[in-house]
Amino acid sequence: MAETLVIAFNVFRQMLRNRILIVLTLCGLVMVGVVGFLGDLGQDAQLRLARDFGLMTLEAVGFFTVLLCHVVLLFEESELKTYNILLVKPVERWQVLLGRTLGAILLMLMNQAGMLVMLWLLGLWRGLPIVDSDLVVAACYLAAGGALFSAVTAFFSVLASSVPAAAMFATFTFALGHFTGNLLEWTMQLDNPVLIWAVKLLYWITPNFSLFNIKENLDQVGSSLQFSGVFLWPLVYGLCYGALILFLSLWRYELKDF
Amino acid sequence: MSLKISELPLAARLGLLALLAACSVLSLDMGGAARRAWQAFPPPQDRPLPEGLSAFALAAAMGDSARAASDIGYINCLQYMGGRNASDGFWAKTLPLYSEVQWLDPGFKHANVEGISALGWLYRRPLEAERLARASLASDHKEARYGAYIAALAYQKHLNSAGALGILETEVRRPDAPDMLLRVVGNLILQQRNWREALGYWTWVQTRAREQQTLDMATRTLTLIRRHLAAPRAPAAPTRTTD
Amino acid sequence: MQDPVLSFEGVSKRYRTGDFWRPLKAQAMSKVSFQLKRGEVFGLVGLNGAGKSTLMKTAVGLLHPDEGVVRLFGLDPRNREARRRLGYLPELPYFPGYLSACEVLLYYGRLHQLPKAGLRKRALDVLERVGLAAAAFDPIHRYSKGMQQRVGLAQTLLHDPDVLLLDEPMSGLDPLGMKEMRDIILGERAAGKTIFFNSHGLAEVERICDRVGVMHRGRLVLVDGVPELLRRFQSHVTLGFTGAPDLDGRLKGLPWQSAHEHGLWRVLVPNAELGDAVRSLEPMAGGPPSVLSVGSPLENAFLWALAEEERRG
Repeated sequence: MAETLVIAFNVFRQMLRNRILIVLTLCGLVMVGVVGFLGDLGQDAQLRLARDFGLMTLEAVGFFTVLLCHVVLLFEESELKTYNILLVKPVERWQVLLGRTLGAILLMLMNQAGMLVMLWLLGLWRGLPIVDSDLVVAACYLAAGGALFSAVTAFFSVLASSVPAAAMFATFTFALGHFTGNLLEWTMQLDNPVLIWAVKLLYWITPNFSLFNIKENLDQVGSSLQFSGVFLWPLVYGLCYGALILFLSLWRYELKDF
Repeated sequence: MSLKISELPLAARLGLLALLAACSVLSLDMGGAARRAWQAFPPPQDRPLPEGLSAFALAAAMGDSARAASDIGYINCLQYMGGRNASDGFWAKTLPLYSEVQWLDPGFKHANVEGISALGWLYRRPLEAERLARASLASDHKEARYGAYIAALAYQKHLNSAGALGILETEVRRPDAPDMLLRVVGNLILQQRNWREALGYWTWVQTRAREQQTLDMATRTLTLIRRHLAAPRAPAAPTRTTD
Repeated sequence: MQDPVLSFEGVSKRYRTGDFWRPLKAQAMSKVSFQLKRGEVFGLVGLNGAGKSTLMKTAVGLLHPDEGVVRLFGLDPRNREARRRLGYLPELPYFPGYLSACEVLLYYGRLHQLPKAGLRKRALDVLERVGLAAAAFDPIHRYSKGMQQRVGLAQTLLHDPDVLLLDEPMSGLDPLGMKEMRDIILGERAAGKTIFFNSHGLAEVERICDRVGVMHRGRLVLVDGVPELLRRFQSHVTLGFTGAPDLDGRLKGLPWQSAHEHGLWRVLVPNAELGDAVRSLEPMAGGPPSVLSVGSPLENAFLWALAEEERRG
């Protein structure tokens, strides 16, 4: 595990110095600043808007951070062949891929934490309680969803034949993962059993990012301690699905020729 | 020690995959069920679609971003109401715009109440206001406010401002009442020509208003009211100040 | 007898070419067998696309053979313990541009689990050895191609490996850099390290190596000691003349090895038979053939090996 962490921290450090990622981080911070003022457009509903847009920005920046991080690493691996040295070091390939996935997650967490602090400072300045415990809980679940997305992107980076293809598949899956939340309810309106099972299969196979979307019900977070399943199951799901998809990725990665 | 997935026996690999897949499906189903039980409102697509729903709102609702879309919709409403849209059927799109916000997030009560107030008393279209209020009540039947508004609108339909005022005065004292309602109730009080009560109300509005627009309006109205009270015989009172 | 450091037994590798709808396979390496002995310097030569880098990548576990067995220190090359004793320099190494050479070495040092205490000093020492001490803390994106090659060499030396596998180590280096690289390889050889490298520079191979292998079209067509090859090919002369490839049939009837490349026929002739050869070739060349080289015996050996392989088809 030590080697995995060494690789993860190196990915993190390397990406911190990458101009694209720096620009993205700065964009995230600027966007949070803009969000604070965007809330003013909502006049009376300023607080709600600032919180909602703040979380939305957090999710968007998390998505782009993870995606770009994997894209840059995949480009280095497939086009610049930097991994030809790393993969010959006394490390297992699963450690390399896991390290990459963790590095992207670390970077995303840093970006999101920075944005959260910025949002909090903005709230202090404007006299609005933008960041409270509910918002932090919702942000944590967005981060958990982002971590799962990192595993999904790692999967496509191993499977896809080119960098653009991997980025495209990952983006498409991320979008699809937000749309599948209500698929099960649709099956109730279907008569054809084959179609029902096909829809169910799609629902189970596609990573479900809606489960981590606590922000849609932000007002209910504080008074929902009795609904522990809402908070517990997404984490179990993230761990199991993440492990599953990483297992498949690592299996393939071990057999890959460089 | 060298540990490789590809060197595990195939049965072990497949077994592990099956176990993880089963746990994923189980936790997904459990999580989905817990979420459905937890949500205060069913997802937007389970509610009747409002007229003139935009493609953006529909996509956002399907894509699990209804709340943010309702915020954007609300900003649209405010922009529309603040614009010069008198020629557009006298702000005719107010109902569709607020209905979209209400459909996307029935929990956005501030927007719903504001839409009802604007339609009922600012644009004087109590029928449209009632439609919005009934849609809001259908989505969120635990919210007693919508019932009160429907009652107030019933008075308004019969031009009974006093009756409407009787109901809305309670509503306006709520800490989360929108500024729009503050202005609406203020105008209804002015219509009663009870200058003492109007003086008290608008003075209170000055302490309660959140928007600059309401504060400016309170200042202007109080000047007018004081002029009325100072004059030995008041001239014809303004029935409504400009909003 | 000592166990070989690296052994190939009937190793073949095919690459997938074509596209998704029409998958094709190209043979990159075919039935390669050889052993790398402890303490020797082995040079691999061959034309572009002969399969040298494929062999090298298979030796370090970057490629998986379709057939045959590869053993590094008696283990699978993907085994961590085998890799711990291996230093590998790929062809044209590239490093993350935003890190410095020192940071890159510290990173790889940690992966080799070198003791933290002396790691920094060790990294700086190695960088000094490869001539990068002055630029040790500059970001790599400012480095020239030759400097990156030196960083590549530094990372192979960092953990003091038992075997060095160097893929085109002279590539991108200026003449001085090539000399320094040669000195480093010779220094490692003196320290008892096993070195396996491929190169296009036959003179370098002749100067550094104990044994040499010639690869052609994925086959290892010749493996012999450099002294033996020097003895065998020293007295040869390469004659050359321009001519069409269809002379092949007539040349095959002669007792000397010949090869056709870029419109030029090369014929390898022992010194003693030079007169006969000139007389035999004159009608085909339309005049006396030119003497292309009388020097490099290894070049003669290389050409002979290529011609032999061509003859075998």
